[in-house]
Amino acid sequence: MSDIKEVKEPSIYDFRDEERDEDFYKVDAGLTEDIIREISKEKHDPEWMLEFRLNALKVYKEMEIPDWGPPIDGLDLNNIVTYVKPKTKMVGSWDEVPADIKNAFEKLGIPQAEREALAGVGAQYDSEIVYHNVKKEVEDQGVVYTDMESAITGKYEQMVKDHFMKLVPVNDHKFAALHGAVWSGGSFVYAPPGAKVEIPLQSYFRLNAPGAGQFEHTLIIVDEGADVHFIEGCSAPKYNIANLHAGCVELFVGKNAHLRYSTIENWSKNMYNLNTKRAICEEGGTIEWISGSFGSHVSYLYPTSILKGDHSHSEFTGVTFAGATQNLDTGAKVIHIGKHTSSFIDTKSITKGGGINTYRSSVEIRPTALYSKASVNCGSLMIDSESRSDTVPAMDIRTDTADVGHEAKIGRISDDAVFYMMSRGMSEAAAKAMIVSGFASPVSKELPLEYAAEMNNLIKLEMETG
Amino acid sequence: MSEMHLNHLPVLTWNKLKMNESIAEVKGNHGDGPCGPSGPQGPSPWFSEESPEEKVIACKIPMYREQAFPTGLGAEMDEYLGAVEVLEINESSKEPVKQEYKLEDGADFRKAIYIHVEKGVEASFVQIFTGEGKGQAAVSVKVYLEEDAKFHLIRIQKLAKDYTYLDDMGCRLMDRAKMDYTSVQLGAGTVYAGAYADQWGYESEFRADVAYVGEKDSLLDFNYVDTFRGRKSKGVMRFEGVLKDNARKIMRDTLDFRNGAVDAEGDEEENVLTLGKDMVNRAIPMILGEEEKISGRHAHTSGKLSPDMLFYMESRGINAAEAEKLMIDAKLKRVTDRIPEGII
Repeated sequence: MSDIKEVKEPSIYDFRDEERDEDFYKVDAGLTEDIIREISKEKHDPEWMLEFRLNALKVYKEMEIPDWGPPIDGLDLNNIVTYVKPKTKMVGSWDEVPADIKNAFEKLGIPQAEREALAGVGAQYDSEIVYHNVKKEVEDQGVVYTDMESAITGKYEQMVKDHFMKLVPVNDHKFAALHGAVWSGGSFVYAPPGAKVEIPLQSYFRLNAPGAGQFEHTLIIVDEGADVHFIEGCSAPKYNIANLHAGCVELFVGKNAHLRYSTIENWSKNMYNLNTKRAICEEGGTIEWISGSFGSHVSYLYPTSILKGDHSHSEFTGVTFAGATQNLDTGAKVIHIGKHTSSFIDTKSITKGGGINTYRSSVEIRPTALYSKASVNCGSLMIDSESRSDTVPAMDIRTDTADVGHEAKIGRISDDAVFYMMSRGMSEAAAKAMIVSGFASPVSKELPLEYAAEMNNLIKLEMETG
Repeated sequence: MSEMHLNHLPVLTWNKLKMNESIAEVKGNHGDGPCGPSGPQGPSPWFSEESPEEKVIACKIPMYREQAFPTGLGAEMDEYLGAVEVLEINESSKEPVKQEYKLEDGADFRKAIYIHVEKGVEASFVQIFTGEGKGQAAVSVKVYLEEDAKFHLIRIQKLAKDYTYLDDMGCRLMDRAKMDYTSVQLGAGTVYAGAYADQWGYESEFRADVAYVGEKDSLLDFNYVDTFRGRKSKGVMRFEGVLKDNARKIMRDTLDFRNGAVDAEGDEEENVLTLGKDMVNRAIPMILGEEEKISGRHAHTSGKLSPDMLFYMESRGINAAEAEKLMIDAKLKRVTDRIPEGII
């Protein structure tokens, strides 16, 4: 079950660039105190960060692997290289990025997207950010968008220290502790009060090295009344050995602030994606999650919204596509604490070719969350009988003033719909792909046009090959 | 007193939620019941028949100790219970078999009943529990329905507040068999209730209607599973509940579609009226699918009486307390309407 099987499929994400050893700095495989000290030294961590890492390592060793989710016994940390650094500095011009790395991001369309639709871009290759740029009009509003390393050693050090792994403490689960010990790369965003970033910021994470782990940390602080849209993309070429992604995203949404966080994740199918994402909203704050999960061998991914402030709000819209060799366990969590808080979860799961899809969620309404409202909708589409699709939604309601609704459906593609489309000249595969795209439209319609088109291409690709 | 692990979820979820199973404190020991620790070796061959081989999926099925004839509460209940009563039903009857138990203070009542309903036979069976003082009642009914059999099991629990009640049911349905299960939970302060329908048969039908009222500091702990194996099998589970004061409830309800259940349809719904500011309403409604050509739906609503409804009633001279009572009665009635006249 945990073996990485060869899947022959064409994908624009599946190119690979051979890494020459002399161009990269790597630590040894495995996880020891010496390796943690080496990473910390290489990254010029402040002393408090080294201590933080060493404590996280201790917690990691004490915690058990989860027993309730997809099996991850094919993942052996002794074989994972936790830090791979390209021997290049982070630059602000694509012309200064080494040709082979620039070529990789060109193939992924990142520079073009930056020119056409983005307010700022960060590009991470293996463990470090290699390119970062932000438009002047965004900077002029006082918005800070930089890599985590610059933030932690520059003038935002105290702000980072006050927020880093406060929402996702290292003892949250074993892979949060792992992240705390070996994190590297990622983005830091600070939007000052009232700032409005009209066009999105994007970070893209590419993991190229075989047998490596990527552990980027994303920290976004949106201050009172500010508004930000952040997009994250990730991919990797496919190898026949396990790769690991254990990133961490912490989002702080201030009073009356708004943050939209969109992700299209297309890790290769040898990847263990054990990612943690969490947001906290102050009074009147809104967090919107848009999530597309297509890749990885195994995923554990449940973005969590903590609605701390009165009248705060969260929306989660997600689609997950599990094909052959994939076991994707995805969903969302919401914790209502403040009064008059509201949440909405809308997810779609598509399963094909022997894949396993589990929608897992929890909605918790604490006794303080008077007059709160929550609504959960989850739909599952089964394309064949070799696959498996489960919905496991939990609710814990502790005030009688709350209104909670939940609805789930599981079903198949209608024969009548396929017949109708085929009678109008479409092939069966094209008809099914179109129906699946329509099923996933709640997510794609929330994305900027370029990304929606990309997501539909991914669905088409998965329907043809997955 | 000893501990019993029961009401296991068919697939696991986060341990932090404390929903994967429950642990009940029960009178006496278990493991010494006639079913023995290795599973229910019932006196009838019907109840020893092995389930079809399960596809093993880590963290999913099978998760817990196997139970040859599964029930909602699980294998430990088999070991705990006392003497097994066997009921062979081979003639149709419009008159239900009725068992009424009036328990006294200090009761430790344990009973297992295996019912075999022969081909084409239609029958019904009623159990009513009342009790005074403080005590415990543990009862399990397993029903094997042969082809074209129809069976209605009705259970009404009106025990006193200081009772612990363990309410277990398992049924296996062969081709075109039809099982109705109506359950009303009204009195006991601690209730563990489970039901497991195993629909082996083509065009078999299962329907569960459950009403419950939790008040004061009562605990209601449910686990209902409908497993679809036969083609065109159908299942419906409806739960109507009221939670008052600081009552706590957890509802686990699962539609489990197995390979081969082509054109199966499942529907589950829970509606909870929340009337206590310290009540706890927990639910985990699951749909598990390993067959493509199926249709499964779940809906859950939880909320109190709407201000509009209260205003409407008050404008017609019905005060808030009376309005609440009316709504509770209406919810119970949706389930008790399934019980033929004259039973209660």
